[in-house]
Amino acid sequence: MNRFNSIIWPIIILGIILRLTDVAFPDFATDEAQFALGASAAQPPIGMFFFWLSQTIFGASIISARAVSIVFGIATIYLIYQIVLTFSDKKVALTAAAFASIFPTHIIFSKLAYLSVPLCFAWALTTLMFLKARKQNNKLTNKRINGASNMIGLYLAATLSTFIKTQGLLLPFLLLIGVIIESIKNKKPLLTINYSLFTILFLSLIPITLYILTSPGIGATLTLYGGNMYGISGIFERMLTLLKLWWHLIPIIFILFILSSKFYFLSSKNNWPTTILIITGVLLGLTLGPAHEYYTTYLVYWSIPIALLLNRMKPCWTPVILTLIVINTLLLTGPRSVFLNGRTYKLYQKEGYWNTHADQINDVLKGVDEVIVMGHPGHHIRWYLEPRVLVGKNMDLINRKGTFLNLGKEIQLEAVGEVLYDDEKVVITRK
Amino acid sequence: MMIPFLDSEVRAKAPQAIENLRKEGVWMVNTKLKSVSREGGEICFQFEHSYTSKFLRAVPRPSSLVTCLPTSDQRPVTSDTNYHE
Repeated sequence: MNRFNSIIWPIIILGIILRLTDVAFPDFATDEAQFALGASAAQPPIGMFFFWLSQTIFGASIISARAVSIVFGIATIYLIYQIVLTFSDKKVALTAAAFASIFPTHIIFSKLAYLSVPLCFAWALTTLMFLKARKQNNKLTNKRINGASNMIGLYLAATLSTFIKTQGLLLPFLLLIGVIIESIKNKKPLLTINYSLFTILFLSLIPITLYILTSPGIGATLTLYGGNMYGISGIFERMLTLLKLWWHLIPIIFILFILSSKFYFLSSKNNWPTTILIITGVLLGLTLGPAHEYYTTYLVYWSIPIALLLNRMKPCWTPVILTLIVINTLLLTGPRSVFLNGRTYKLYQKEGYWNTHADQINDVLKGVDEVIVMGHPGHHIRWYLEPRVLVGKNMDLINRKGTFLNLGKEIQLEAVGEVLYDDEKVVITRK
Repeated sequence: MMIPFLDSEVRAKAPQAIENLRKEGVWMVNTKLKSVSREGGEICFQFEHSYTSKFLRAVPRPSSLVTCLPTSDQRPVTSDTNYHE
């Protein structure tokens, strides 16, 4: 065990350290800015609340926003350890934690201000509380206090999941379906040991249901993207896009997952909650947009079956496989000052435009109250620019005077005037 | 806020109301519909607009945007009023 610990713990620590490197390097993406500014009508409020809280305490900055993902990302490693501990031994749990810690796509998105890492944490927490509550129920013990606390924990975790991101309701809902199916298979009515699990999960879905019904933004988003980005239309193309993405980012882990799937899914009939967690993570990208790389965050749950696979193999294989994973992870996500190479994740290849030019542009715009942005401005424009940003493409600008920022070298006809600033990406004019 | 939308004319005018705000360059995601009313042959949509940026975090300045659309053949009117909570 000492030799095992001497391999596993440095890997866990390495993964934690990698989540703390190059955090401020990439430009703030439009989605990140949208969440950091609390400006998404398509999401429930709790996920964005965490970004607001961090910026209120530490000031509005890219680092304070991304710090939220760092904290949730690190905490997820511990949750995966605890999940495995509910059905296996400490050695397997630590192996799963090590894989989760150096899981490349989870590291990447633990350094970005998307909602996927907080939701990944919340789902892991929900699964853990469910497993504990289910175990408590099955033992039919007299430990009422522990039983009650597990139920309360399950309710809070499940509700938290639903309010971090709209798709967060998927896992509690699928666990609810699992409880119903288990009751039917065991030929027992729901009013038995599963009753409390059913009730807690059902109650956890009520608040978000009411929120969605009274929030037109969420319904509008589902209507806008349903049928093309959301759904299973073009299923083979979706699968191909997904498989290419996984192969590009996590080839070795992908192979291990395939090898582990065969025995894991056959032997885990009693561990269906964890199976639901893993499958939900896999299917999320397929059904909501396979090209969106932030959905690869949820593949970190693959650490669980992979750890079980390694436990069945000869012990000499564990250090070999972990070394290969560490090498892939360092090439993809290692600090760029040391590991910059052709395989480094695209966001860390070159300095972003806005991080390097925003101060200069704001100097040019000093004293300007409003700037009309021509082209297709994302929310990151609002993050970086000091004046109030108006969206020019829908505006009636025929006789409009003011300051215009043109995204792209081509100046829109309505924005022609005195050129105040001109670089490779942006032209600022005043009319 | 869903009750006014039971009126079919309100539902019909709502997209144009949003379009009127877009023509002012407003980020629609920062608007909240506060009320819908019928006044003198017009349907008026009142939005609360809270522009967010990291430079404005400490001092939120919500403004009221009202856009009225005629139920008869008249030109639409949009007004911008600032208020402090």
